[in-house]
Amino acid sequence: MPLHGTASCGPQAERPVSPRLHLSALPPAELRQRLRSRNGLRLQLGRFVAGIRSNFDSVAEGLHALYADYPVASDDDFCDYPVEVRSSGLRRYVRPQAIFRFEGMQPFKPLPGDQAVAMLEWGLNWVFTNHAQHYLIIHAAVLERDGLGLVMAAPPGSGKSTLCAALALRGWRLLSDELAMVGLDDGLLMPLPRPVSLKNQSIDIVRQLPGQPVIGPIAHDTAKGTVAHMRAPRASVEAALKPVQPRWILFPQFAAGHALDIEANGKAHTFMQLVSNSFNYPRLGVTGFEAMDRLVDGCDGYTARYGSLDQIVPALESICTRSA
Amino acid sequence: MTAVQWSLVTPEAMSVLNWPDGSVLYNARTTTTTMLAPTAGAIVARLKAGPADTDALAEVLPSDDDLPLSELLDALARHGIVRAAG
Amino acid sequence: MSRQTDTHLARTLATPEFTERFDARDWEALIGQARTSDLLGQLAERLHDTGRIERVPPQVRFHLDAALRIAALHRDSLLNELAVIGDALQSLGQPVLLLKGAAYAAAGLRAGRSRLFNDIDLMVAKDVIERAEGALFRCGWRPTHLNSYDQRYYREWMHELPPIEHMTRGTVIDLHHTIVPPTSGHIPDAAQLIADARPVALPHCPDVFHVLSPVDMVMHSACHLFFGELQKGLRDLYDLHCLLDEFSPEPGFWTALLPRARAQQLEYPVLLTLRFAQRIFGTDIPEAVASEGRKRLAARPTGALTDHLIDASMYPLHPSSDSPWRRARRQILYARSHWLRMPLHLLIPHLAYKAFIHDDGKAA
Repeated sequence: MPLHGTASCGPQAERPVSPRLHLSALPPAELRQRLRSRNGLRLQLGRFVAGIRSNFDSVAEGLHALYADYPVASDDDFCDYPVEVRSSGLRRYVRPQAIFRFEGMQPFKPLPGDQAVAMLEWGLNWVFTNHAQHYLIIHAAVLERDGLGLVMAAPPGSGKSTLCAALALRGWRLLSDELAMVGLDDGLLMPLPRPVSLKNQSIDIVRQLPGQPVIGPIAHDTAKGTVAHMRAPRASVEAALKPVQPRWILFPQFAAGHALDIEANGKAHTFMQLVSNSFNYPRLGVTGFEAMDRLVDGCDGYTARYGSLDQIVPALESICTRSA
Repeated sequence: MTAVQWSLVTPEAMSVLNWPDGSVLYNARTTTTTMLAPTAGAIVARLKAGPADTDALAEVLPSDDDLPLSELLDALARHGIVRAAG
Repeated sequence: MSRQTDTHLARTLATPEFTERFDARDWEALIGQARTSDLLGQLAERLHDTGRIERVPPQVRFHLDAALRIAALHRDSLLNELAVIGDALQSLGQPVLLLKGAAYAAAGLRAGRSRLFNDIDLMVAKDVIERAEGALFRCGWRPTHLNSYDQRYYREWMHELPPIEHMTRGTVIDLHHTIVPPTSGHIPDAAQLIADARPVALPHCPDVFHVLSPVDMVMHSACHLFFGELQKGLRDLYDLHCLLDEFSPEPGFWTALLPRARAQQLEYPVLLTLRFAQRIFGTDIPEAVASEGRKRLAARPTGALTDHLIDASMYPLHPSSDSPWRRARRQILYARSHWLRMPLHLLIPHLAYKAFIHDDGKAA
């Protein structure tokens, strides 16, 4: 088995830029075998390599559905974040439970086994927000248009992910559905394209959108209700190493039957609203304050209330253009 | 009689950003981020440069502001942002 | 058969050149062990000090740099907290001793560089400890153990008050009046420790803080490690390795260490420190002191068994270095830590309470 290979991760080794094996090229049996192997399946997620281990067949199926276009890193590459979603002990036969581990540590309580795929997604979010500390991390969807970035920050339930999916299906580049990663040194948005998390009725709304959405396995009765994920567009995955200059900050508020109402926000208000949506702002001290200043200073801020995607999507496409 | 001298409570720990719709104050000592009215932000920015008396602070306020300076300073003092020296 | 990786972290901290022939699997084991042991920042410092950082692959270096950034933030927030605490405790008119991590950072010691700080450990004379607690309450700290059993357990049997937590910032202070629990049967002379402490000056902070003298600091950190639960065994031992290394050139340090520890009835943890620091990190100890230590340890009846148990706690809790056998030995050590701190007639009811009543309460 090619596990120990040569030491290509030696001093000053660069990441190879040659075309990589993609997950879609792995036959199902091999995918399951890699997930069960000691080193796990090495998946390239943006600038990171996640080493994923799992003994759930549903995780293999979920990855096959949602991560088909992602490069598989070679065994000689350094794995940034080893994670595991495992059912263990007797419960594996009785009523399977999914346990998430990072570096052998268990940061959350187990979940029912049929939520293993969702748990992997949530666990990865936890790993990035707690360990990628070169970034100010905001709970926001991030997309790119004309080379500039739109950050959509909102608490759960405000329609952010549905809107994000709709824009991605219309050709906007997806950087992330959940995590805006603002570089502390350069102020740029680091892409971390991953599946878009959809809840309850938004699953059917997105399924009916043009642009051929691919929806992964559905988990019922989770803490967030019924949950499924939409695969990130291939072009977004292929551009995952290209950071983006942030330009627009939007606070979307969906309410059924609402007329479209977009208003510009002052910068102080935008600043405070981003603070309340940030994961690690308090931990970053004055560094976080300065990074937030740079982000807010370079962007136009808006609050948008809307009652349907048909209203908000064209409005955003007219606001978010590279014009003078 | 000399005018009262005002200063920030912990000037070394405070940073302030001023925008037309308001100011944002970060206090590293208390790890709090607070939004202030633009006039309050102007006072804090002036005191960040060093202590000042009431007359000097009156100059940074727009003349048409309806909140008296003394009330503004009292409010900032109650929030632990400024204090009157001796 | 995979290569042995279980001592990668300890060996790299001791000798960074050990990373010379590392491949990706080796780096993963090293970073993972450092993450789970809270030693990533110290590892980064060590690689910087020796220039090895330039030869670390960029993808690995990302995590070391992130650790340095986080450690710098921890340090800033510690200094901020100390400024607030200093203001609060100035009115005591008595020295306030910083212990462990806060002391290393405040005194500018190598052990404190890029170390993470969890709780802030303070020590004051026993007759002012309630006043100190009151002053901290007025600045926003509150008890975390509201349960009356816990409150009584701490106040009657421990060398510290129950931890207090800041209402908004969440910072936790442990307020001590001596360096080991009185129930352990060791009664060090707290007044002497305070009298020998050295002042430290901190930015924007009144001059109230002191740190233990070098010998006492080593003695206390040794007690904390070897009378404790050894949860962060490798990290705490690395602290001690750094302290010994840095204090080594101080005149009289080595000649005072063992006699002082014996006089304070705290020789045993210091002997264990010398043995394990030398074994794990290759600490440079004068031969006369090292051989005296070996002789005195050998004279103890349970030496070999304890040695074997402690050894297990010096491996990071990481898949690349852990095993069921090591986990089992750590469980025994956990029980031992309570036995060392409490006489048996107190310990058994205490463990029973913790195991049944208390956990039930939590689950409900």
